[in-house]
Amino acid sequence: MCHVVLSVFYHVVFYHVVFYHVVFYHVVLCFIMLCVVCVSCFIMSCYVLLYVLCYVVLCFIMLCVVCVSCFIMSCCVMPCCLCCVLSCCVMSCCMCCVMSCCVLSCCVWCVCCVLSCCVCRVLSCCVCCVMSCCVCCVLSCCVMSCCMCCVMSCCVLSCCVWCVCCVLSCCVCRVLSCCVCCVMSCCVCCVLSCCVMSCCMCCVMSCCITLCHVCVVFYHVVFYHVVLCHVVCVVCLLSSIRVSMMMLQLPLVVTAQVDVVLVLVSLWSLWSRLSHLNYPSAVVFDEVYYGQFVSLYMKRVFFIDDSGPPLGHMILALGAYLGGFDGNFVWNRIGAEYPSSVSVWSLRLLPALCGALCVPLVYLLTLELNFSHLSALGAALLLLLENSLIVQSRFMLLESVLIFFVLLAFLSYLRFHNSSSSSWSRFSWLLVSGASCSAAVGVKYMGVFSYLLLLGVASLHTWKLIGERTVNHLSVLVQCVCRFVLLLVVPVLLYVFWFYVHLSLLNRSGPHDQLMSSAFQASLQGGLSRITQGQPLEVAYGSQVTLRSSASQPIPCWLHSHKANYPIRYGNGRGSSHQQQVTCYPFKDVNNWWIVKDPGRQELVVGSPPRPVRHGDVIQLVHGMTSRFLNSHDVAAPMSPHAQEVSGYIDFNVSMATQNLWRVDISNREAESEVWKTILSEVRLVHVNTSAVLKMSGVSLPDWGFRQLEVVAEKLFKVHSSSLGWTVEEHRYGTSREQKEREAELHSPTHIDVDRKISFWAKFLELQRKMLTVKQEDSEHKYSSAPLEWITMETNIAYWLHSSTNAQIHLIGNPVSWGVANLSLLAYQLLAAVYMLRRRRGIIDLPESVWSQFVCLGCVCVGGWLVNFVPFLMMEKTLFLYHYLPALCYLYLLCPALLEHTLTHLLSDVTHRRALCVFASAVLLSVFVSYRTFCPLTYGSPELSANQLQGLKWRDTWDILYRRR
Amino acid sequence: MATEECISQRKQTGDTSTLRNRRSVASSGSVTEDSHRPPAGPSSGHDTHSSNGTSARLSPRGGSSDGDAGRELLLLLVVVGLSFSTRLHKITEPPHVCWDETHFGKMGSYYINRTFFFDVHPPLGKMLIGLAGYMSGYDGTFPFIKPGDKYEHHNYAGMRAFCAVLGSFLPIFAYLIVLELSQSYTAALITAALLIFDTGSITISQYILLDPILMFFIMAAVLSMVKFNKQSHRPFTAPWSLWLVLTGVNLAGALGVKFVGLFVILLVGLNTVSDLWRLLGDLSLSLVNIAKHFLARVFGLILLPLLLYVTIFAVHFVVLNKSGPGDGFFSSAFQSRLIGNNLHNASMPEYLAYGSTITVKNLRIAGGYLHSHWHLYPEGVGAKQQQVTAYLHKDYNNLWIVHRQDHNESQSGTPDLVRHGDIIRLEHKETTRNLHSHLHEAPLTKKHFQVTGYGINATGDANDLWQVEVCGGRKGDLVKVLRSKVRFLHRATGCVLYSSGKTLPKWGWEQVEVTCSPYLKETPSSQWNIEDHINPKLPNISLSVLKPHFLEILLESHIVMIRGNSGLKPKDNEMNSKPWHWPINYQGLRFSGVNDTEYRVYLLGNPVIWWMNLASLGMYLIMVAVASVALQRGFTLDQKRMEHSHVLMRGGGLLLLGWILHYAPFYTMGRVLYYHHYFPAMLFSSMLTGVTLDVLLESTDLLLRPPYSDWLQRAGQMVLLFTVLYSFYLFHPLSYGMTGPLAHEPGSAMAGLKWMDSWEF
Repeated sequence: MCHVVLSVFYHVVFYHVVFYHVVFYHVVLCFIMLCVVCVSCFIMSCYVLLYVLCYVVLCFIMLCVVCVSCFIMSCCVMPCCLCCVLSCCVMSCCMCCVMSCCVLSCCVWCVCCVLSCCVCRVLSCCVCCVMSCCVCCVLSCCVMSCCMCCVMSCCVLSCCVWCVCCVLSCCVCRVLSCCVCCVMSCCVCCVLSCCVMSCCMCCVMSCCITLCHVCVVFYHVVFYHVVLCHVVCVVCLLSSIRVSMMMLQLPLVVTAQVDVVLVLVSLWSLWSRLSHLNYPSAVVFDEVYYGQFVSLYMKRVFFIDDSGPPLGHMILALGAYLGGFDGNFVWNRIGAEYPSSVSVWSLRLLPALCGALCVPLVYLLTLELNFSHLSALGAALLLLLENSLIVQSRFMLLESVLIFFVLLAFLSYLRFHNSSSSSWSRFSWLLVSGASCSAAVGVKYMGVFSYLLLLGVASLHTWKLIGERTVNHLSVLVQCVCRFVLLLVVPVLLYVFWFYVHLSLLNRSGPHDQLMSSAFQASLQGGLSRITQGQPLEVAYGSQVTLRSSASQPIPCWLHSHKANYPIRYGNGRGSSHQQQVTCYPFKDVNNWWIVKDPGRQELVVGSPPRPVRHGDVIQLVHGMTSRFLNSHDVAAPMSPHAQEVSGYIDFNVSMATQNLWRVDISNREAESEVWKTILSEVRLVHVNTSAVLKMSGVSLPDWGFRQLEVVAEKLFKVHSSSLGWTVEEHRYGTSREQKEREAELHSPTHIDVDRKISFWAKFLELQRKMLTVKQEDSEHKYSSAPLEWITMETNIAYWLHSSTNAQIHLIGNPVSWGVANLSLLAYQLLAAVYMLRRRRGIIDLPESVWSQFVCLGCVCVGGWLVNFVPFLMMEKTLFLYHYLPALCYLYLLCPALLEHTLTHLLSDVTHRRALCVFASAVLLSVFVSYRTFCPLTYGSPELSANQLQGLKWRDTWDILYRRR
Repeated sequence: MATEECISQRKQTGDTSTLRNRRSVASSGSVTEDSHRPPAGPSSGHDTHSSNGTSARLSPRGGSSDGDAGRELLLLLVVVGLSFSTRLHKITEPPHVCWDETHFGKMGSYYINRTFFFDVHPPLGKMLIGLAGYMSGYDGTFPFIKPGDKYEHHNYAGMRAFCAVLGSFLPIFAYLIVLELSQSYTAALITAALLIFDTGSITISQYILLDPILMFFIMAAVLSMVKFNKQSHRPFTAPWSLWLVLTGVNLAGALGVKFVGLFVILLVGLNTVSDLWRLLGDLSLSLVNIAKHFLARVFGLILLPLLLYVTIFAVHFVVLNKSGPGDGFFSSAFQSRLIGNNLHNASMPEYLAYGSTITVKNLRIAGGYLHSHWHLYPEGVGAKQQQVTAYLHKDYNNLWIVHRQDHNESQSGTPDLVRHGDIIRLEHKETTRNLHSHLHEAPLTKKHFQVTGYGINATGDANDLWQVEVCGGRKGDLVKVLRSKVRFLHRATGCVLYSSGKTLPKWGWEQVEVTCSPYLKETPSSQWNIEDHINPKLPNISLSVLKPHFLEILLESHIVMIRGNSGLKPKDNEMNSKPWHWPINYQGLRFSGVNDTEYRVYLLGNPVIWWMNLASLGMYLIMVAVASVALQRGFTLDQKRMEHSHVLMRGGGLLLLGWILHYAPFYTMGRVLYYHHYFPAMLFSSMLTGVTLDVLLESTDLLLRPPYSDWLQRAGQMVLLFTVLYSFYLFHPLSYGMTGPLAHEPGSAMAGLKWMDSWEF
């Protein structure tokens, strides 16, 4: 037992440290001597092995040192330390616990440690510790000597997350232009050579890391990289060229195998998607929606779109950028003609390319599912002849991109799974798979479901791997960790990265600014930052400020007062204090200025040096123009009688004393004596006498209050309510002592110039939260449909109608292939049910390998259909037929495979087989015929007469347009 | 080496352990029959036997079977006693209406008075409350207007006690379930202690609410299911059938109280499916046998509950036969069977005629009547004309008069009938405005047009004209009152009168929006029927043909309930409870009293217990992951470890599934959620804690050598018990009520116990 304990423990710890260091040093090296590494890696891969060995020795020594020091230190350090090491890889958390529980005999202890460690590190480290850590990391990276402390201080999770960021900031900071150029070129050739030569160790060990990071550095090159890498990969696959280079044999031999069928199908598919791409030179359907974002990208103006993450928009924008689009076209209605200056072809190129590449992907995917080339051809043809997919690919829409990435993810995962377990190069497939998943999610949120399916399949396979007794523990652990990193960590990082690119591209203020917080807005050029640039950061006694309410999303409003009093009696007969009104006003106005005053002193100017206001200080707020004090008292507020009225105090000598002291309560403070900061601090103003909190109630006042918004003070049980905060937006240090001067000062605009930034993470989190929470009003649409109508294709969508003739484009699927798809779905489920019941009763119909092939087919295809269809049944948004297209692709994949299965395993009679073949070819023929029939509606030409259109209306529910002549 | 250690250690501990006693899964022959639970016993560990394939079992403990049975009974009695005493303590306090008692008490009264009402939950719970009230002498006269009303002389204790008694069964059921699943008294006792001393469970059991009744049925169903599983080795015997039937009955009960019962049905369903799958794989059973098994379950778990469920509704409809406040939610046909409703045994002219006064009801279920009133649309919402809305209640403002498009109405003789395709004008009777629409956007559905009341005393403009269209009819067809589906097409803009189902803001009195939709799809939202029809010049005919079939009533009431449920949307400015708040005990519910002079009861789980549940949930996941990876990797584990793994994976798995099923769906719900929705899940969580902690404490021998490990285990149990008791002592005022200053002030009974700022006591 002891032996097992030691060996397991040794392996676990050992491996983690080794792995960590290898990764870490590669990160370091790629910026210090990247060229050397790359070149040497590619020249002789054994160098890497030596390299690893070196670190093995180093790490062992390191471990000893750690252990000894831990024992010397108090005993509670040790579990922490161990846990650090053990739980450094997040997925192996459980594994580690297994080991420690069963073996280390410290069940309770370990559990506690793991819990606390996980919670602490994931929560706190991720947020703050890491932020500082990464800076240290960057510095120490250069020195390259004291990385050990980094290992100790931040756990590997956070390091992994942040190494990208470190590297990024590192690079951005000191841009050594020559170095950068060299890195870039190196990396590009590294990518290419990796893809082509499939260099095993290099690919996994350095390529994945260097590639990622170099991509990160050059964010403007990233489009090329991401798209190009995928395209290169696919093109390599496409021609199935196996290039084997014998370096040592002198007659250099290059053998190439080309799958002619695949090439032909791909060419046809390219032709069908790309020909006459700029034909309706007018805005088609949802181009009107995506177009606005494209032009905002071109102008680099910030926007929020809740329909999906930014990658899809960025791909479209890339197309526009390549075509030299300048952003000066307004997509305002469907059917509007593009001006000649806009290169329509380039706008639509990338989606069309993705759509075209789906066809060879399906071909290869069928092969990876272990079906024959004939089935693969069938699947490719079904996809190729699907009118709706053609329509959806040919315009500036995102479905084809989504489908492309999803198919690529599955293809590369299956490649990974099918290749022999000994080769390390297969992990590069896993990397491609993870990256495609992340891209799919980045294009549309729907991609999440496919991603989850892939994760499910992958975890099943991993579970099987864990069950394999013949493989030793270390190898299993390594593989699990690799899968975890490549399928979970990498996609998450990439997903964040899309946002990074998005945010760094869009740096100007625009129409959606108002949805974001002041701090966010201030980070954008123009807009709020124009006003707030160069304001003093710390609010001091004597500061002149405007206070914006945090509750007033999406319309902003500022604390306001004016020379008008509350009416003596309200409409319902209730009395008021008749003091000066205090409201919240949604427009910039000179009456929004307030002066922060120290209750103990009289003057309203900032001293030198300025005395900053801190959390917990008691202040008075003086209205700039009227010099009234912000006051509250036990009088019911005008519209919300349960709350206290807030007023500008006028002394009417009616025994109503002033109660104008307010305590500053900074809700997002980090330290107890935090200084009140402009824009950054969210402040609650607590009334000292009654401990009520200043609050905008959201009710608008009647005419006497000029329909401005009511401000009240309310006593609250609920402390955690985000709607109570106020932010200082405009701010300057007051200098004038006299009221007249002060008024003049308030009228003059503020500006001095300093830049202020919030971190990328804060921006990312805010943007992501906004995107998920901003709700568009669910609107009806003429062509919206219910998910159940999609299966039978009850509806169509008219995409475009020529302005004068009957030429038109519709989203209509190929009815025959649609029917075939549904039939195969049904058939598979029936067949699977029968097989399963019979197997359970001990009747084995299929040999084990065929059965697992059949199951795998079901998992991918039927599972894919389910995850892409069922969620729509529960959604409440407006849905369209094109949402069904990803699910449909899976069915096309299923259909020929199922046919082949029937042919080889169900039918034994030769006549039956022949009959089935004849039937299949007849179906294929009719698919082609119906494709030809609907072609005019797919490509928008030639124009059809009304009678012909009538003839195409195969279903009564279809809406085909006729122009009355 | 390791196994030797374990065996020797077991020998040492075997005799000394008294409190915790993993019930002996006896090897061959030795029968330990229990007096009060005859079916459990010799081969209850059947599955583990076969799958382990090992023969070394725990040897039976030294004590005789009599002693075991006696102690078992004693423990059960202790649990029963504690459970009842904690729940029934101070049951009559406070003597005023608390929280949702105002709804459910009122509904109980409705049953006693036989008045029809509408509620979003199925009727069983309220029927039982009504029954309990009736039996205990409550006469149904207390109005239950709002929380805080004093009960005075009304007899409310019976209803509360009824709920409390049902609530007292929860710890007992949990005890039995855990005992059955883990075969360990310690685990069962931990569970029982957690539930008995949880302030939240106590509070929620003590008032007139549906939750104790619901949870009673849920737990009873789970208990019967577990018992039924134990009988799997001797199918078709009496106890087997009894537990099967009991499961079915309890499922019907759970679903009959609240739709949350669906989750336990799902749990039982999944369990049954896996059970059937297991049977199917048992090649010693013939197909006929399997079919018999299958049919038995179909009968016991589908047909029987369905029958009972339908019966509940039948009773509901039979008992409630008087018209009441819920009428307007239902269709005209439904209303005609309520005594006192104006449609009951009604007679009216059969065909719609000009000059008639009518009410128009939307065909969407719970659609409302076309309504207008003396209020204008506010500034900024389309044109500032009179509002037109849909209103669920019967009212004079629902009356409209049918006019021709021109004004020459024939004054004498029988009035002309309205036909399909006719163009009419609808005049609002109270305000004499015409139903009007124009090209302004509607208040909420921006793509539709606004509908207003316009003109006065029959003067108007061309925008007041509507074309009548009978769905499925042809030109010239007459419009049948109550039975025809009618659409009103706006003459000028071509849109169709539509009720969007969205609630207007305060200026519209929170009535439902009415718009004119330019999309001409035939949906119930754009279809209307004529309900009341008053025309003295026409002969009335009886409309008894309307009487709906029972199944139609059933279906309709379900649709109305589901709509009502999804209509309970959270309001924008209200702070509402989120599912992630619940397991961490983030915020409770104020049952009674706000400020320091009032008698305050606050529904909040005992934080120590709830956080312990949360922690042990995480611990369970880790332990199960460890165990399953170890098994999957083929590590050799000793006997005790194997047994623990099986308890964790089987029993714990079932409980975890129950927890997930009762918790996860709330994340997808759009309706407004409350803290008490978590309580069914909390029961499962507590049971899981029992199992987990027991296994954890059992595993102390992994850490220490035998005598010490045993001490550690005992100490752990003691600490656990003490913690639970002490925390109960600290927090008991939450359930049993407190007065005096609030918790953040020093003089309070709860001073210093406001551990989270979000708690409001």
